[in-house]
Amino acid sequence: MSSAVAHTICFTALLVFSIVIVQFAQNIQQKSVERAAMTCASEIALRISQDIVSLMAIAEKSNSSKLVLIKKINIPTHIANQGYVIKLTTMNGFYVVVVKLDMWSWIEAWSEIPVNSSSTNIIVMLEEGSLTYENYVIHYSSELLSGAKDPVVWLVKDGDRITVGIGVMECASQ
Amino acid sequence: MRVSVEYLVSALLFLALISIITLILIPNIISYVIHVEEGQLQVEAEKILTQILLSPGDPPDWGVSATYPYEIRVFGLARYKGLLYELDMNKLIRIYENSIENITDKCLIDVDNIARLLGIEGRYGFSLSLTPVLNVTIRIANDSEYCFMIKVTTHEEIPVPNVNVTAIFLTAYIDHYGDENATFYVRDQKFAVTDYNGVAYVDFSELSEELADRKLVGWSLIIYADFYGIKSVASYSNDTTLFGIILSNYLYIGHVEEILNVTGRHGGGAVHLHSAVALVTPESIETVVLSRVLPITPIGSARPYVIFEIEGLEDKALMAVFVIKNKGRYKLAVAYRVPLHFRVGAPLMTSSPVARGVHLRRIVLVEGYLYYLDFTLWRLSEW
Repeated sequence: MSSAVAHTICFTALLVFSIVIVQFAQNIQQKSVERAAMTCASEIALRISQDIVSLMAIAEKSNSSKLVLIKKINIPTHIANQGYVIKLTTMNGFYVVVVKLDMWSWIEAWSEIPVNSSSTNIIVMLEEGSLTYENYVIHYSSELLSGAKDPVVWLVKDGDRITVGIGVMECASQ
Repeated sequence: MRVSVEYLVSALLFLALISIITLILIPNIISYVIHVEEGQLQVEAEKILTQILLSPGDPPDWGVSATYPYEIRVFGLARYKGLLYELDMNKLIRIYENSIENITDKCLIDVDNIARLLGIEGRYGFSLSLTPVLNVTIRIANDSEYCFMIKVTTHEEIPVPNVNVTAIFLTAYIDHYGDENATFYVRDQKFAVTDYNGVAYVDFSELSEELADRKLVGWSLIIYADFYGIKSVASYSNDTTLFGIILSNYLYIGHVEEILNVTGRHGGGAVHLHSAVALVTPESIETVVLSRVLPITPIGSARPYVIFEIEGLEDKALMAVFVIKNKGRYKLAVAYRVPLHFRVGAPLMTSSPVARGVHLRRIVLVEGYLYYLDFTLWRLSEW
């Protein structure tokens, strides 16, 4: 076997090996980014569900029979350079906050609100509508896009009945 | 051949370089992600604990109104319209009193039920424990049967001096009342202050003469410890049986066969209840005569327990003391309302397979007494 043939075989083998290694490294990087994105998404879901639980706790401990609570939520506009959707829904009989990435639909994190969806005293709003409070209007929905301006968690207490949800807040005078 | 060796060496060097970079880089990425996940577990634990301690649940009086776990739509231990971090005693009894199913018509809300009601079943494990802020130990002093040493310490076993101790000694005896045997209660009260070592002595030995000729059933000592508003309660009894449960203003009295240590199909015969019950509150001990008294027959029979609705029981009664008769023997029985301490859920031990867990502690109020509530949450699986 001539030197040129040996060169060709070995060079080709090294090239293939290099491509495999680069592919492997890219896979590892992709998995790392996906895991980081998943962690970030679950962090957002967890923080929103915690805000909802905290507002419910304040409302339940309040002596007021009528109460409106609004809490602005600070969330990033992107996860792994992608937009995402925050969704309130029910899963296994419980209300949950779901965070789902637009492009990587397989990345979906959720955090439960420890309230059974059959509860009549505590209701998580899954419909669309608007709520006016003094100078502010809250447009609520079960879905919230990551780029939305002034996202909020809101709660309305009327007697023993508590309604809670997510939405965007805007000043009525604007 | 030389060319092949050069390429082989190049490939090996290349592989080594990639391996080193991977070995250095990946653990760093993973440790960062693990750190974030642990932080998330902390937030998850705080969220769950907020729900447990600050929500009364749905229905808000589920401790009394719900019989089965599926009737509870939202789980929470807070007292309805109570103070912040004030827990409902009726709900606590439902989660820790194992004999509740034997002597009441209510089901135990065990750890699995709680996890399911909180929506964390299969994902997280947890333990919940309640211990008094002041640790009160009661011992019989050496010289007399009716002389007691009370030691008050913190959780860390540090003695607490200057604690105001109120000791109530309750004795039950049987005597003739007309043609029948009746229960009589004798009550005595002493005050003491703990010394530099956290120790105080209370002496009820003057009662021994008074009780010498009586047909004594048993006695119970109730200790109230008050350290500048931090209050704890403890009790100590001789030859008593836990034979009842207080839920709301209902006193359930039932038949727990293991306690009587009986064998046989009928559990050692019927248990007869004497109608006089002593209700212990922080201010007083009241004797109440039960409206109707029926023999309590063994578990599985038509009448495994008896329910009494007692006025005034709901708010302040710490315990109810009564006398039962079984196979010709009298016995003092106690139904507690305020727990001394309890734990639900598996304890988090270093040797357990739990990978990571977070622990939170809060001070809570139960029927006017302060307790430490320890909550530990861990993941059952890692993704």
